[in-house]
Amino acid sequence: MATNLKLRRCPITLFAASLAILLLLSSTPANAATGNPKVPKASCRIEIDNAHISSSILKHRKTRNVKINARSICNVPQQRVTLTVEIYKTGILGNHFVRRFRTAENSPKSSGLKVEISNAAVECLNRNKTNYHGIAYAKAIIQGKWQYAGRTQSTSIVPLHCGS
Amino acid sequence: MEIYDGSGEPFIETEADQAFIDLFARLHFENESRYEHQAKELLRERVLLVPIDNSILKYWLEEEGAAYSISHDEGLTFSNSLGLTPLHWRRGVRIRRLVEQFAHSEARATLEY
Repeated sequence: MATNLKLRRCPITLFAASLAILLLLSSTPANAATGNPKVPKASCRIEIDNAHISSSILKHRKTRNVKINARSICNVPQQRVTLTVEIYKTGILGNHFVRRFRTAENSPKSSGLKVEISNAAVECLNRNKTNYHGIAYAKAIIQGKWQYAGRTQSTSIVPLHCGS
Repeated sequence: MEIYDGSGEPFIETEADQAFIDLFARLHFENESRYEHQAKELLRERVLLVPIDNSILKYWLEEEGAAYSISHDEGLTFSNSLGLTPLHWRRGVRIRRLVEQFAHSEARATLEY
């Protein structure tokens, strides 16, 4: 119930993965063992937006594309972030995988407080109404340890005039 | 630049995003014929290496579809798998999706985006 309330207030999904990371880090004994109050408790989350027709690609390429942005956000530096976004369409027979996008683990852009994917887009083949959503997950080195964030889904399944 | 894209929220498009989309669009337009040949070769050979400027793009077929990674050190090391496109059952769509992925990956390699 609490999660539902939170989701209703929040336009983007933050739940399972961020909770998983928070729990993992808060249960890590390193901070407690050192007794160092200056080591901040890591608070991280994955955000994935709802699917939408990209107005920027429409403007530049004159083609319709379904696009989903996602980001991994931490209050402490994260390194070697592999953030993955998967685009799905929903049909009668369930979810259908459309495309996967992933950050490069060794890229300088895959480190920092925020690592994002803003190029996850797939060109529409026609204007048939299709339901889309995205799923994001990640792994990263946070405070010296590999941390894994589970699959986080867009808040809504969005119908778009974009057959794929 | 702030764009209202219909998702209900403004999306801030950075200069890097704009540069990527511009290059992606240009590559797709200018190289469509080459990409179609590449797509056919990839489907036939299952692995394809494409040198672009100072990078090498590696494409391969796996169970879920066509994946790719990028090397910026002349092929000594490759990145993790950066994208995957399922192979559509219709050949025309399969080629079209691969063409899209070729343009996308080359834009990424060029801009290290």
